[in-house]
Amino acid sequence: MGSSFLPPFKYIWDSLEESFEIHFSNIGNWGEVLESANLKKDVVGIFLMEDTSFDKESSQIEKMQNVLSIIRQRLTTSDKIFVFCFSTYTPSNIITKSKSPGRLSSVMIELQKLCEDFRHFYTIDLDHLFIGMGLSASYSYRNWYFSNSRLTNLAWAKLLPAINKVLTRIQSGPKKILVLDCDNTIWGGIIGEDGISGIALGQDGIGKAFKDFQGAVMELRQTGTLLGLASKNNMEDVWEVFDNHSQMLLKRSDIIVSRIDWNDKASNLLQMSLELDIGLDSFVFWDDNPFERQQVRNHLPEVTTVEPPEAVELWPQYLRELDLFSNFYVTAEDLDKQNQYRSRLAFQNFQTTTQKNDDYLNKISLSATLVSIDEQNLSRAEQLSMKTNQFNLRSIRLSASEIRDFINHQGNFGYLVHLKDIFGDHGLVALFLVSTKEDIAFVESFNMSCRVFGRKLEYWMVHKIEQASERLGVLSIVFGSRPTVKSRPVISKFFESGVFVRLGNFPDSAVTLVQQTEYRLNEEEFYEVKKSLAGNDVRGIYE
Amino acid sequence: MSEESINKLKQILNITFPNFYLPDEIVDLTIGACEEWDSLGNYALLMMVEQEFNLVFTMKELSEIRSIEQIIARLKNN
Repeated sequence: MGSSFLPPFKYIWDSLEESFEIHFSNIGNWGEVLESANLKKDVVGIFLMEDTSFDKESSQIEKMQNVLSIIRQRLTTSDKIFVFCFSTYTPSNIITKSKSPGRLSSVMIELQKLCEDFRHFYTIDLDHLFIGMGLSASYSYRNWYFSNSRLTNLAWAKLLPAINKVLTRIQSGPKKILVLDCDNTIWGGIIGEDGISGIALGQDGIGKAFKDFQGAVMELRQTGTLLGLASKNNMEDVWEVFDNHSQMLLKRSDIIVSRIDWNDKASNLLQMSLELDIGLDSFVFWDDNPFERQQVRNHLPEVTTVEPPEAVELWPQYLRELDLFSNFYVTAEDLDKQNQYRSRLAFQNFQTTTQKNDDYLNKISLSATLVSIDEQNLSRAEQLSMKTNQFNLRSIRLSASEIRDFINHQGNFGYLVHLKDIFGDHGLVALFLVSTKEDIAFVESFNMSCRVFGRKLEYWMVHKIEQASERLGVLSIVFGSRPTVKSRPVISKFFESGVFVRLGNFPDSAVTLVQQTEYRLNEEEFYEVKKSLAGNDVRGIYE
Repeated sequence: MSEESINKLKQILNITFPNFYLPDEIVDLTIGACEEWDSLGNYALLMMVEQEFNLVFTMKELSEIRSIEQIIARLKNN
């Protein structure tokens, strides 16, 4: 945390200190934080343009440009996270501002460029963050003259959760699915009583608000959030609205999973979670009825149950400002998520109707290809590393820049895996990173999306690692295993397949390979690939 | 000063100076009563009082109020 003012009081920081270790720079020395000694630390900087107004030597815009160029230098030399909280508010008046709406454009363009040039740079616009409270509640001149810090306690109370959100979202992905109630949620009224012509949807007044809420839901759906329905209704009534009401923005095809019956909603959400193989902690539930919300909260605390505003006209804005589903980047995989889960469901149905052996895998035209990791797909590689909880052998999380550095390192190789079959194009679904030293290869990272489980793709990947290693003269391929509660079941199954031999300890000569990742060896188990076996399993299916 | 307000002040002192073991009677406490309660600590304390009692100290009050007794006097005027 950079600070040119007195560090804010400890009680203010408690919320952030639960998850992060915080160091303050010395007063007046924010420049020092950006220098080489602190290249290994993440930085949060707070910059208020108005604070520079006492120094009249150069314009405020020049000063902010200057700050940004120092930040650019820092970002070039350190790949640690930088969160830049800024305010461009300065006191002015209607007349002066009436002819210069674009006076900040050069600063904004440079900020935008920094965001684009550096994946580890993030911004928080304080003026926007504080707009709801009003500037006078957020910035205090008294505080400024008294302590060199304008921010009020209220402002800190708003800012710290925002910083926390940015920092935690970098490490863990957004929610995956929004499950909606129907009556009085996506339309006004009760379909079972009011009938299709009696519900409020699209008409002036509250009908427009419901329609706009559907619009906000569709925006989420278009950036990769899955949609589900949990409604206590007769199924035919609900689908009739979806199919025949002219004002419906949501279509039947937008809904990936639904439970329209008279069972309790917690059980229904649990079933959806099993059906889609999406953890309950990736579910968000939206229902106008406090009883249903409480029931879900009581039984499924992992699900995020939204407490929507009482007034429906506030819902569209509320949903748009909700950050649960947002990500810093939207990848091509995100946009196609709906289709990928749909084909996954089709695969599951097919699997249960055919015999559970390799026969069915032979029938579905599996086709996998290795894809080199480059700047275009780097964000997908990062996503697979950060967000894969189940099939992530060593539970290691690598950022884009760490993956890039890894690939560029002499002796290392790594690929993304693209998968297709008769159920659809699944996109880039797996990632592996391997380091080699003399005749040993070590699999540093091995991740696969749970969407494509059950296709033996993991063994195809082992086979590909074998082939690539052979070309490099490698004799022995070693896998590490550091399971978590979530990943233990799949990982145990993977290593018990007969392809691997458990090693007593890690081969001494290769220890330096593992050290690159800074993970402790004593927490891991190690397995070596049995050469004769790995390819056999998948040859018929994939070639 | 109601007992409720005194208890609230005690809570504020506890949060602001977490290492300070509070005596039963807090009215006599002043700046310097514990290591954390220096001028910066005093500022932190007054910010917290503002927030919890929903009032705004003037610039002058911020520099002059340095004891619980003064805080109580100011709260009575509110």
